[in-house]
Amino acid sequence: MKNKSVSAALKKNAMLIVLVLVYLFFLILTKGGIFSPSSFTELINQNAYVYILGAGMLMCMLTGGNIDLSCGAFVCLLGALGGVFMIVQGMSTGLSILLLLLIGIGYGVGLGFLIAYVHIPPWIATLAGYLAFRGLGTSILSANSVTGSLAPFPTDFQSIFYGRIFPTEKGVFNWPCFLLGLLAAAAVVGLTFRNRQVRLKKGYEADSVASAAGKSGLGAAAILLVTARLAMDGGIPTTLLWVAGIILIYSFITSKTTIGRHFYIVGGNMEAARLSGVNTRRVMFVAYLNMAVLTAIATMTVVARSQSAYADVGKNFEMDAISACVVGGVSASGGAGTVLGMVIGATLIGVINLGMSLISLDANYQRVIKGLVLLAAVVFDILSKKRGK
Amino acid sequence: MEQMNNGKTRSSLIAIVAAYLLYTAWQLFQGWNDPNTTMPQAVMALFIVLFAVIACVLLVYAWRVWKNAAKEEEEEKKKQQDESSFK
Amino acid sequence: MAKILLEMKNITKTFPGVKALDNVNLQVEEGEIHALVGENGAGKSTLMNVLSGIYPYGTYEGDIIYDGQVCRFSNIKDSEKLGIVIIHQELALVPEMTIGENMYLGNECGHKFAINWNKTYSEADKYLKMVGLEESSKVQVKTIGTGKQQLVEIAKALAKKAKLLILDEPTSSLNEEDSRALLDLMLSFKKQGMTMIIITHKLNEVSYVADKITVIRDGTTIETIDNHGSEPVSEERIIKGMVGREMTNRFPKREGVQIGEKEMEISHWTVHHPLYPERKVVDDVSMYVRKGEVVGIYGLMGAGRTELAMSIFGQSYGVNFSGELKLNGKPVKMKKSEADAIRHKIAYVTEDRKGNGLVLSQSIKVNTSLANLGAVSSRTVIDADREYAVAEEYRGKLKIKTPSVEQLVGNLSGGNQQKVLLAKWMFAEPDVLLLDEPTRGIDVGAKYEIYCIINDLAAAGKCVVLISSELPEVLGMSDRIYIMNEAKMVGEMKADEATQENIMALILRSGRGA
Repeated sequence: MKNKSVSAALKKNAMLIVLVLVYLFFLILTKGGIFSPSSFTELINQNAYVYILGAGMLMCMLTGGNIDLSCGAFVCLLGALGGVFMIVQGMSTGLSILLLLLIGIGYGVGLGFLIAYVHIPPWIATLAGYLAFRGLGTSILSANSVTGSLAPFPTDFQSIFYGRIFPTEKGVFNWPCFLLGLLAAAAVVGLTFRNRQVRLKKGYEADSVASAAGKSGLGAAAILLVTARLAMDGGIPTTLLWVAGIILIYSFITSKTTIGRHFYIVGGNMEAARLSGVNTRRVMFVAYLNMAVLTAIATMTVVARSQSAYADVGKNFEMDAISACVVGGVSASGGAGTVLGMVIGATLIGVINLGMSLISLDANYQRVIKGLVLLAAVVFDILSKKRGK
Repeated sequence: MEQMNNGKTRSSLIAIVAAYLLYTAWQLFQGWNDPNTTMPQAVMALFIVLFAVIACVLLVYAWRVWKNAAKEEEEEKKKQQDESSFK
Repeated sequence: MAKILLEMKNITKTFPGVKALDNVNLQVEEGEIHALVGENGAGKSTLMNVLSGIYPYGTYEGDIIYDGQVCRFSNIKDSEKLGIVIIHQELALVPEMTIGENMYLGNECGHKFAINWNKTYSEADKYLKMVGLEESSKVQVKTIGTGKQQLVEIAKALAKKAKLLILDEPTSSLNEEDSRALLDLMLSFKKQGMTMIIITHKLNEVSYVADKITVIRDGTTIETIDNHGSEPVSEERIIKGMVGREMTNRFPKREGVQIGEKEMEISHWTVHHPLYPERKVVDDVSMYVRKGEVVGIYGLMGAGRTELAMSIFGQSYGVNFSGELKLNGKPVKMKKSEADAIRHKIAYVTEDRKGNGLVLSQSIKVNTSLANLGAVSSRTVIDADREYAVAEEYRGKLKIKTPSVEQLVGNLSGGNQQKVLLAKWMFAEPDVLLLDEPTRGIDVGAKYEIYCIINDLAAAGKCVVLISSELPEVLGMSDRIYIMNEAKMVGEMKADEATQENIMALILRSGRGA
């Protein structure tokens, strides 16, 4: 009996195990380099856009395997515009951020309308953006700068999107950071057990004490580990707050709200959804509007980190977001997938990216490996569908 | 991975992955004469060809999945029409 | 007394949580056609999977005794070696390959590395002739129709030198003509000494070919009926064995019929085809339904009944609508919105439950609340407990057979799926229910349960519109019957005046060029 549950648990958490194994692999390869405090910060900052865009891409994919091919190019365009607002025109940071968000909303509304109400297939509609936006962004940049890039962004902008909470010197243990970590870890354990109690009281099945302790224990340990490392590197990065906030919000939306449920239904069977009174067109519209807004937020974290807007920014972003979803188990045809899955997928990709750059792996090898990872995920998906049949 | 019930959207995603592999092969090809890279040209050639071939295979597979899904829909419709005619 | 070729003794097979077979006994004589009947989920396919080795020795209790020997199969090949060949419901042919390649897939003639194709094809042709196919075995499978593909499957089995042929629902994807041809083929095989077991739920086929009929219910053998008598066994007799109750009334009696005021009425309702707007799919139809009434709509395929129902339901089908819709006596201008129709307390239960009725990848719970999520949530946050409780409530009310409401709907049998679909619409608390072929593809026992549900709905004062292509069903369940043909409403009859004959006559008279 014990053997069965262990192997079943293994299957369910396959991606998580893969993540741990890959991390250990790079731990050895980088001779511990990937375990340094600065690596943790780098992982979060470098990878933030994957989590943010991944959340948006997840919502689009839920509706039936639809994607957004334009987000990377849109990042370039928005970055260029942001540079113009803040550097060239010298507008205040707050106003610029607001404008960028509004432009994002504008694009989202237009895109959502074309896809949901004019019924243009999403891949065509977003392909247009993919082809057009980068060129647009590059022309804006070259019109406003000799070098083709705009820098530096104002410091208050940096601190909102690329700073640290309660910063300290690197190497000095950042107690506020670690305390926050302790709080979060305690919250995870506490909530897990409280939920269990509530479920038992209501008469539902619940995990055994051992498995609840195991799951929450692992989660808490991970949180403590991450915050301890971050504490040695100057504190919690602001991007972590953005990412964590977005992840929590979308987790809640997908699992507990009627809107979230509608996404799963539309992806599971659009006709059945329509005939059950679900406004399928509105769901599609919201999916793409949402994606555009998240793209705007991602742009700001990326641009703040690189401290400049340049022509190549955003390259490959859409593939990274799609990879995170596919690797994380989001069904390639919609109707299934969770935020947690996307997070694991995004983290896996982030670890691979970071690991490869830490060992200074040649760019060509990096490209090959990224392609292979995506290929492996798709093959795994195809095979599991065959066996499931 | 969760279940998949819609062949058509599944095939479009496989097609996208195939396109990405082709794009990667293209990127490798563009860097063919780059002196800075540590990847030997033989290996580069290997991966270019490999990715291109796999991409084509995936595209064919995606097309098959699409066709199968379309055929199944047709057959389901036909079967139901047949069933109702001689109840 | 003929020799007993196969005996399955006290076969018991358990899956986690459920006993699929409980001491099942089966005896098949040499050279007979033995029919295995039972409701969906009764255990027929499981029993045959045990026999053919799909469930190997060791995963079941009891004995398989074939030709006097106790058998311990570890896989299908073992049973095939003895001549036990099973043909499954789903065709297992590769469409792109030729007939010959398919027939000998895995055991081609010749050596391992040098397949002798000439021999393969000539052998294949031999067997094709035996099943009455004139095609060459070099033809690609996908070019021949489903009926002929089924015959290829049989030829494939013959090529494996089958002595005991098991056919699992062989006519499920065939039309009447091809089904008849297959049954006649079975009778001709019998003359040549082949022993066959046929699993089917089509009772007319059973009467036609079977020598003996074994009825299985809930995993146990109920009885074995002899069909050798001067008169073939009646369908009622078989149904009684399958379902365990007298089916003199295939349709439950309506208790306390109380018909009230008109709830829904449409006048001069006309709808045009969405792709060919000149064509009318519903032509000047007028009808009404009263509270507590079951109104049947009968018609041949293409008569326009589904289009009528869907167009009433929030204009979910069709273009260029005209005509008037009255609810509770008051004219209503319906928007082109399904949600609006639901708000007006109309429900449409589609005829294609798997295609556009249910979300197969989601649980019973999620499907049940689907049309009325507002009732289990407060301000867009779903109340998981309330949703679970609602699903449980309908599970009990409709007797949905499942261990838990978290079970995925795609894993349920057809009858249970239909019940979940009904549950969804009942939970939307409509006043008018448009049921489109609600018992299509469902076994006899589940059909009866659904009829009871329909009667309960009427008794509760709802209006039920029953669209059906099964004339006995329409006659047995309705208070009033409308007849549609070629987009027009051609007749209306009270249930006691209606007969199969005068309904069909009405249709024939109204047809074009009648």
